[in-house]
Amino acid sequence: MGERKDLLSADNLVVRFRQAQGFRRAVIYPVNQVSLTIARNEVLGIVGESGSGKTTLGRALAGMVPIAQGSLWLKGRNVTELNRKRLREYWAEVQMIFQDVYNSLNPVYTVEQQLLFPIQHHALPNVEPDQELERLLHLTGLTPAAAVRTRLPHELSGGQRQRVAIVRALASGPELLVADEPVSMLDVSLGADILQLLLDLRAEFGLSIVYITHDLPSAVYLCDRILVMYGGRIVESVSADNLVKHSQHPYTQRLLAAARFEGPEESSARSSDSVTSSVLLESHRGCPYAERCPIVSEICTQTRPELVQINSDHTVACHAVSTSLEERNG
Amino acid sequence: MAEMTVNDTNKDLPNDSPHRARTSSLFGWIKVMKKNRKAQVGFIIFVGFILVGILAPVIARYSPTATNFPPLEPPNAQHWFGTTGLGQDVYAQFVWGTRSSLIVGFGASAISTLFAVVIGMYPAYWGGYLDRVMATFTNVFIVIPGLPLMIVAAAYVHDSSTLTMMVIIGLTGWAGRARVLRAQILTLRNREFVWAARLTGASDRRILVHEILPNMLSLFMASLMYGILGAILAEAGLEFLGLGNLTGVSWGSMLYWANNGGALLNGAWWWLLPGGLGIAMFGTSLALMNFALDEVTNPRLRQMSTLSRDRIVRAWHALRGESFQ
Amino acid sequence: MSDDTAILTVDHATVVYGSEAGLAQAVNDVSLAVAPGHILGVVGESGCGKSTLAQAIMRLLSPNAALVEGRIAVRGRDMYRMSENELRMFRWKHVSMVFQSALVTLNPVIPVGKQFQEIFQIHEPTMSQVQVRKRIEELLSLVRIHPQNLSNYAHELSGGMRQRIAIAMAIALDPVLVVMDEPTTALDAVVQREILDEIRRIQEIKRFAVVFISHDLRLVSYISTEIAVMYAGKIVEVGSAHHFMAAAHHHPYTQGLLDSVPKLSGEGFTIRAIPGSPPDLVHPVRGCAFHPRCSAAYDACLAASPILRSVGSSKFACFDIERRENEKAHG
Repeated sequence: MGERKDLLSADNLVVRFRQAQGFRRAVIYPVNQVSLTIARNEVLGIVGESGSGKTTLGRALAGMVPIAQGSLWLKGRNVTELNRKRLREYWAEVQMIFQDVYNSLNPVYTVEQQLLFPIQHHALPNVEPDQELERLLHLTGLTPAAAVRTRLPHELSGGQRQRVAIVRALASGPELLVADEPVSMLDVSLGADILQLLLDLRAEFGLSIVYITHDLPSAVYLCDRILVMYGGRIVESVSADNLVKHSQHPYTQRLLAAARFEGPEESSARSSDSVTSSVLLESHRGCPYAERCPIVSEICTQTRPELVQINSDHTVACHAVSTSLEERNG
Repeated sequence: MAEMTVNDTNKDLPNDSPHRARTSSLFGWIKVMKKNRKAQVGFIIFVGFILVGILAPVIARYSPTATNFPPLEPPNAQHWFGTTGLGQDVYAQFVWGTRSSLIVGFGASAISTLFAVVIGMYPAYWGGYLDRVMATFTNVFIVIPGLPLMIVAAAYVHDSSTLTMMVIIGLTGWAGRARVLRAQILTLRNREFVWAARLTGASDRRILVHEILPNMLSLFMASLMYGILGAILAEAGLEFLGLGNLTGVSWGSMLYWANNGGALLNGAWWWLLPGGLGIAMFGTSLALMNFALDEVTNPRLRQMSTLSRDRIVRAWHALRGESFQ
Repeated sequence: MSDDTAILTVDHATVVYGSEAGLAQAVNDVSLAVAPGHILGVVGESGCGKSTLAQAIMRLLSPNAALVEGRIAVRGRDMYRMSENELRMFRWKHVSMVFQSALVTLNPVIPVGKQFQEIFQIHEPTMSQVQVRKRIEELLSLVRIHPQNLSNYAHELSGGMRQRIAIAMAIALDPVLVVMDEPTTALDAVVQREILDEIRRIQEIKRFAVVFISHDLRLVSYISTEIAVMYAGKIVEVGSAHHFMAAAHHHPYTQGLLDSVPKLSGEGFTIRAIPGSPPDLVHPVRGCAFHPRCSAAYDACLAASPILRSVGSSKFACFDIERRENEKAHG
């Protein structure tokens, strides 16, 4: 950990929720023993379906949900458990962009009213907040700034709202942006601009970005490295370039086939979309993907596969992959 | 920066339209409310009652407790609303009764608002143990039937001053309102914009006052109006049952004396009517303002009611310069 | 466009919404026809009128909207000339709908099986309990749902299962047309793909016609036989889905949609958003509705609104494509 001057690193992160199940309360683990590192200026993708734990992981990285086990490090500082004051300092460096553009801005305030507080709050002594606001509005394409400033959220398009949310996140001068499905609620023709804006901001400010999405093609487009999550665990970690051609995990391949609208007809023989919350329970054994996996074998239902290194930038947690790797290596 | 691929969003901005007035801020509402017929009527009645209450000493003409008039006289030039069986002036009683009923109504509602806010809203924002205790406490209070509790309390304290009435009504009426406010806080406190404010470094106090409260204003106003109405009804109920201050004059005690004095048996409708009408009219004014508030803050309600399908078809053909039967 | 054999014919339909701001033309002079066994995909972004078109076909427009012009007929029968009673018996039996969220169709407090039975009680009162039971089991096996799920409530089922059941309900009375409004949008990619394959398979067995509404061009080209692209209430491009993704030319808006989504196979491909902002339906621009955002726009586009014309195997509403076609023909 920390070899490549990592910005943020997580070590065996666990998030625990209590959930009402009928009359009983069950403990579930939406994020379970996740380790990851985010380098400076890197765009890391976290891909998975609903219930995979990707959103909870993003929120844990942004300090929004308590971490039950494991540790989180920002620039070598342990930031696993922070009091209110320290948390505020943490948020100056790690910011979040939300999916729901209709709820991410306070409906009663104009753009200017939303943004002046965070800018003033974090402004350097020699910076005039008003000019800083103007600068950020221009930077994110919210022009003409004078007209945009006085708009209320409902007078803006979805794309413009997301830009305002991005300005707000940039106000504290963060080093890491956690973007949770930033374009999934936007029309495609407007979403493309937001994705491009994120790439521009990364180049401009040297930002690191965690891009959380269910949309594999946009993750491949945007990210340097991609983590595929299933059932609260990382099942494959691979560079974006290699994901399309060299991914190994059956779940990643299934996501790819679905995104391509190619390949054989999806077999529905296995109940692929049965409720999967049981894999989040502590009592669950074996591979989280076992009940949907087309190449499942005996061992998959018994022991959980560990992440195995395939090459320098590629790890997979799958018994089938480890077995064939061992055979090849003799 | 010059090569950044952002397009000019100039054309993105809609023209100034009537929608601009539809804000959720207080001033925005007042602007829209001014044009709403229900709000206008409700507000005029409401202000009328307040004026009567304030100006009672000036406009009452007689003392409400003086018994030196001929009893059971129907309305006439001397006694606009007639006289009671004990020879009191009903108009004077109505005017003074308005004053004391409103005082108890507003006072009790202020007390229950304070309780609802302190017990329902604040703990809900922070959540955790305190919130669970307070929520349980609230729920216990909700299931205790209000009227019997008030009766017992009123009978127990043996003091029926206006202040006591306010306190008793206020303390028994907060629970339902606390629960509504709590529910609203619970939905708002984890909204994305509230989280975003937290992430930008806003303090809890700022989040509560600046981010959450403005979004609860309509609910809060509605709760306040129901609180006032509920308190006035409760006061009238207690007085009517003879548990209030029977030497004082209020809408409830007017009803009590009218009922006990056999106003109906004697055909003295003028004795019975003003107290009841006062309660009904004041309640109507609050309800009208509340409906209007609902329409203003819920655009869907408005849109549905404004344009029927027939009118759309007619407007469409008119727009194209066609005649339409 | 009044094809006699067509299941659905929409002739010059215009739908208008009334709001405080004025009249918004959500569907603007749309004509189309769907032949038996065909799947027409209707694509566009929010506000293009695709969902309004679906509601208009079902005669389910919201109270502040009206079909002000044109005719919509299913098997030659105009639903807008039916009485409320006729309409109730006609809808679902001959034309049914699958919504984006199955929770629109499924009542949360009644078990799924009971809701199935109700459909038959209303529309086929002569069927016996046993026959109904048998029919429901047939339908469930068609969408690959186990009959034991009939006793479940909607919230106990996963999103994919709910949507399968919604599809089974939609085809319960063997309708000739099923309107599907974003039926897979709320689902995860893998489940979405499964449901699409399911729809294709069932549709090949039952041969009903489908109007499939979606914002996703790739998805629509996967499932449809014909594709219509809508912008600002008008169809701007319509053609066979077979070679759609590989077609030589597209309407500039369609091309814009294609260019704004990342592709898995495109190395070195840069996504490009469509410049400008979505159209204002209350104050439409003069000329082609897309011209303010179109890089190919020239003076003709500002003067008049183009109508659909055949170029090759597709139809386009675009002056630029017409002009290029003319130049090719003359030189």
